[in-house]
Amino acid sequence: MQAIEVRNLIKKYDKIKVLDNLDLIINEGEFYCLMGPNGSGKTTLSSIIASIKKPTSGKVKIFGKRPEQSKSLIGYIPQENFSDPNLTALENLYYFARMLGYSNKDTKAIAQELLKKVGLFEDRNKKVSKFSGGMRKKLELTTILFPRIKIFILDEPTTGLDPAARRNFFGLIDELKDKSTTVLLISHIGSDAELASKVGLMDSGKIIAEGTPDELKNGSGLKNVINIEVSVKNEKIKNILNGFNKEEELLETDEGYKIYANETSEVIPEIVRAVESNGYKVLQIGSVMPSLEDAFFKLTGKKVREATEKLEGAKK
Amino acid sequence: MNQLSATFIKVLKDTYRNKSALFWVIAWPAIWLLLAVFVFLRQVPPEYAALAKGQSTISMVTFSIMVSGMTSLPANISEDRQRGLFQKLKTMPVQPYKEAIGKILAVLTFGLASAAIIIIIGLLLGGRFNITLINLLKSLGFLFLGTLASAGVGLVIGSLIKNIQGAIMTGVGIAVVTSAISGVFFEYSMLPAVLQKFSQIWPMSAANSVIINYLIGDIGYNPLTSLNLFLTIAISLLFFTIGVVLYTVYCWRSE
Repeated sequence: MQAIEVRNLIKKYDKIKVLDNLDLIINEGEFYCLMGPNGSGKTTLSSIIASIKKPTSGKVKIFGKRPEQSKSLIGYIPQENFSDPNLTALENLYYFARMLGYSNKDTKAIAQELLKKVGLFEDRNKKVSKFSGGMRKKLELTTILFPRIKIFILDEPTTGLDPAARRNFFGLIDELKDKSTTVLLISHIGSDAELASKVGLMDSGKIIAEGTPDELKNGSGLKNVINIEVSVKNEKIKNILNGFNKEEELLETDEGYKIYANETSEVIPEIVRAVESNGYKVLQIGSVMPSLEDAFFKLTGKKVREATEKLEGAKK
Repeated sequence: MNQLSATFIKVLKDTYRNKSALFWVIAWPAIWLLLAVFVFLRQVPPEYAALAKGQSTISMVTFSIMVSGMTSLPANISEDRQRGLFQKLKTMPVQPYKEAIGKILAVLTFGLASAAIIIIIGLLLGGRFNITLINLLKSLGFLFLGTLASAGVGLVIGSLIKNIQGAIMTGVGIAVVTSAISGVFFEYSMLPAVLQKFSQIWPMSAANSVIINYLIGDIGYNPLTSLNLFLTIAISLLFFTIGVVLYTVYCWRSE
């Protein structure tokens, strides 16, 4: 059964088209991740599905009904922390349970049970302002675990969390959701998208590719990625490394560079030789399997994180 | 009722845990009342002193309600907006009017509770009122009207100003300045002619004048003429309506 159906969706802000005639089908029980840089339209799409925003044209159905008629089935977690820092964990949960229409009696039982499930029961009477970022996210996760909710929409829910807390958060979702629960995750982080059963890569308001994480990576044609950390980063070293790169542009990372190669066992010693013969030092070098971020780069020529970081920097 | 009472309880707890709200709604009017009794009213002849203290008490009750509506309510709305709570609520089967009423009622309850504290302080300081049941009921009606007007202004501030501190300071600024220039902090007779006119149409000070007229006596003009009553009621309801409309548009409308 189709949990989410999107047909010919267009969303314009003034004259700018943010969603461009987009189609999307997510089946019941599927864990679907929309991945793409900020500004690609993924948050706008999830906001329309969650009935926060209205489309300019097109159709959105949630289990065959309009989003406004299906609100009781949707559990939405936005990027920002929405829990009230002045209230305790239990008070926050009571509030959301009663806003969902649960009776006073049911609310108490369900809220306590949910806090036990996410491991916050001991901290139930602590003010949320005293919580760590990870604890607060866990508490907010409980607001979508109420029994009637059938679709989770998670818009970059792990923003601001370290990798360990991120894994913990998704581990909880995997553990606590029913098999029939549909998950729509919005992310620009490849490792988050790896958790999904299906990934849609989004760019400029369109889904440019769709499939399982493995299908997308295999389909990109990339075989190996070599990560190299060098003593300095400059144009000269970029030119040296580009000679070994199978893609047009060398990818720069925080630590060094990424080189796309078909074969690594012979290339790695050659790279080391080339770098060191020019007077530089290789601090670390190794090959990894291509990630979804690499697949996105191959398909669009854009780097997901860099595009996102640039946009965030511009916003600041 | 679930959504209304859930919002009511959440906002009430939030407000009572907010030190800034406690200061402006309870401590500030109480300090002003003490100043009035021990500094400004010292020269008042003993036969008038008790009613003068009663008048100051009523004015501080009005101020407390005013600052509660104009400061606590917008602070709460701004905080919810900044936190993205409305984004979350829009995805839930929540009736916006229940959420709005719950919020307004909580802030008004907070204002009334602080008003009760101020009345107790006023009575302990020797304030007296000319109370008849009918005048008391009418006074409560006008207090409610002033409350609606303050809540309206608060809704406008909260809807237009996203920054929490900005919303609080705007609310405090409007409440303090309008109280100072409209006869809430000072005697109506001390105001220049132009401010006396303003005092008659600014709904919170007009309601304050009506209540003083009912429970104390003459305040320097007749706030009970048909025109004055009409203006007080109409402007109060207008403020409230504008506030509710802006709140709905800025906080609840789907883009």
